[in-house]
Amino acid sequence: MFPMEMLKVGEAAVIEEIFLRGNIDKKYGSRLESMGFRVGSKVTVLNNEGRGPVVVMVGNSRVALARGIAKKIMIKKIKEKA
Amino acid sequence: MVAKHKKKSIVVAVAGNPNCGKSTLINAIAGSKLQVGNWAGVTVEKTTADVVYSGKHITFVDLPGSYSLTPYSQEEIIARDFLVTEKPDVILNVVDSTNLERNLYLTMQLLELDIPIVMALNIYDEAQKKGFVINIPEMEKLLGMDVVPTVSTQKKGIDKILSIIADHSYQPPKVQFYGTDLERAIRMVEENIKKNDSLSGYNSRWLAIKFLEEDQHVLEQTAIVDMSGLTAEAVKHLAKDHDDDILSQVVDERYALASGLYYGVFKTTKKPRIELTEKIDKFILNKYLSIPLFLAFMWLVFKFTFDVGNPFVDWIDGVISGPVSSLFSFLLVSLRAPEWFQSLILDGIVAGVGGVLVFVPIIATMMFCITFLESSGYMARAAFIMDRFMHKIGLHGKAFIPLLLGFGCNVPSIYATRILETDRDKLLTALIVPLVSCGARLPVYVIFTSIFFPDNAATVIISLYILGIVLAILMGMLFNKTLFKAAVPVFIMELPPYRLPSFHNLMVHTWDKVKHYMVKAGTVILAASIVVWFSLNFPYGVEKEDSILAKTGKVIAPVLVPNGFGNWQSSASLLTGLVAKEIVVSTMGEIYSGDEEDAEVSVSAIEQLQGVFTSFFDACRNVVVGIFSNVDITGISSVEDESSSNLKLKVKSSFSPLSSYSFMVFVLLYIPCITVLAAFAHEFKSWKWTGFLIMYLTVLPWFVSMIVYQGGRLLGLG
Repeated sequence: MFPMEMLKVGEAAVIEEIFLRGNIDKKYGSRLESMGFRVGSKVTVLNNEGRGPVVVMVGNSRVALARGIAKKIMIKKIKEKA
Repeated sequence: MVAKHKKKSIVVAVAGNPNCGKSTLINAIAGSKLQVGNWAGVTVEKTTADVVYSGKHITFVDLPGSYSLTPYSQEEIIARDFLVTEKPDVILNVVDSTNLERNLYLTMQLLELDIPIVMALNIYDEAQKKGFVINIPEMEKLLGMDVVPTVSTQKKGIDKILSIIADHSYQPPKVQFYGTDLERAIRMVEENIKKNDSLSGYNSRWLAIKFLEEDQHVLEQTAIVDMSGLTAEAVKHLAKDHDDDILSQVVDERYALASGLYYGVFKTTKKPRIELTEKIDKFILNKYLSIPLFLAFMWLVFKFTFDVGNPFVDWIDGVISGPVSSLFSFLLVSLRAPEWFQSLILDGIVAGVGGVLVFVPIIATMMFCITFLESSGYMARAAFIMDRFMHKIGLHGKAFIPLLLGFGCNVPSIYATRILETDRDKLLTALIVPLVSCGARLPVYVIFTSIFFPDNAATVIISLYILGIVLAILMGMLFNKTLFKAAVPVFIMELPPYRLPSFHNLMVHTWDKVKHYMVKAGTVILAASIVVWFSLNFPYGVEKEDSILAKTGKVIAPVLVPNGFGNWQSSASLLTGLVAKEIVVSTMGEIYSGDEEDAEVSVSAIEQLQGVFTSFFDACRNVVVGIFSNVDITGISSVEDESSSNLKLKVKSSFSPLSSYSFMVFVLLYIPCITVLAAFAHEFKSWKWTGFLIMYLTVLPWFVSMIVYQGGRLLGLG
């Protein structure tokens, strides 16, 4: 389990935990949830330059996320079948 | 709210996720019948349309795009409040067929409201192309609603939706089962709610769920301070079996239902391919290419705006100062109107309003470009690309969108700050928006550069735009360091797939914005022109030097001496420019008009009319020439006609190139028009901040333009 922020472009993973529970974070958490980021959701990283926001594919939509948020989403890498 | 007065109208609330093609679908349904306004009390755009279908009146109300009905943003609160308090007859739930699972999550929340739903499976063609197979009959059975595949760009499915709504053949909403535990808890709370008379206006099941979720917004609305009496028993019951909080339990149930449904009806026949959007994004979002590409796009927008807009500006200018003026003058003479009245109409209204209407083509092309950027999907990328940069001024990428819109007009930019999540972000963005040079400031630059910098008009104008951007950044940094030290904002934004916007759609939205500009010309600017005329010509017969406006101008003028334009004409124009910045130009037109010595060239009416058409074709030819010519905004000074050259000569005698530049800098930076101030005051409901905005936009332009002028003199430029 490691933060989504560390995934490289093209890597896929499954969300294991979202650490957005504080008072302010909760708001972002519920937004993420309604956009399809949930425990068990599959994500694929489309853009990650090591700084600035990360773009991931979740469901069938592309979402740009602040790095700070991507750090709080813990994932498990999965191997995609070719 | 909308159609209460028309009792027979069926009210349809159109709800859906952002980027589900909702507005295109409504365009397809309503065509030209769309009405754009604002939601009561707030400034989020509200689109409605009254349609008659097989004898029935149907009113569509477009709700702001929302991911959920759990209030996160202003938009979602508006959408939910409308559904809960206005109780529309039916909801048209627009769903993106290519992104079914997430869209169904909203559908589950809509079902809680106990309002009949008709579902539009929109963008159905793209889903088919991707090889998605959706079992529609099964979906209709499970959801208990009509599900209609639609392709809004081709108007497919529209008739079916309209006939279902017009025939009232939609089904009652099917209550979804949220699991035994939760259902029992909901029932317990519902019973308590039913005992409370003050809550009888609400759907009890929906309210029970909201209470269990501890939804703050609902608690405020129902004025229930302590709901423990309503929910204590149920909460205890739930807590016994689950350690999760109740909100997450509800969300989980909705998601479970949505994904159960999704897997029950959805199949894909093709392997996912790398999509075109991803291929484009490889370049657009590339580490090294993104910024150069962004700058190139901005340059293209400006080139397009000027090359296409300018020839028509010259054409309209010719039409107004030629046939239109002649027509008015002919009418006035034949009606034996008194001399002062002739002057009011010709020098006041025709010159004032005309001077502003002339710029409609430039405004229209710029609005067209901005609409294109928005609806093609690039705007969201621009926000992404600018995110890192925006962090330097304590904002995130989304704040870039209002700033970019500001190039068209600052008023929608102030409203567009709504897309930001916190009040701090909204206010900080809105404070620097006025430094972005809007379309209304362009006429001032165009006149002055054509007089003083005919060979470098493009460079000079671009330098002003850049100055505005640089100062917006500097002020943003300053405000961020001093006034807004709060937490770092967070960027979450969907990047929609690239879509080629339909020409029809672009025109609808462009027209909407141009209409706004023209209405302004017909109302605010018309009134201002009349006021300016009177203040310039009262008492009638005196020299303009002795008019009221001149006297007021003379009081202010000394303050502007260090800036290089300490003449009363400048301060008078700037003063009237507070109403709208275009008026700076029309006031100058009025000040310098009237005492023309050049002989009237009499041309017959027929020749003038012919001229209108030949010059229109000339304008079209110039567009083509302009687009294929190498660079810059040349067209501006190439065509000169007699009436404007007179104004130009007069202006030339009152300014030097340096003082004209310093004047343009002042126009760029000083207090935006009263419309922006009104929007700002309305949006933030704070006199303190509005006062601050006025103050800083008086001090900053004075200093900057003074530095430009005095610095220029030291360098021997003036």
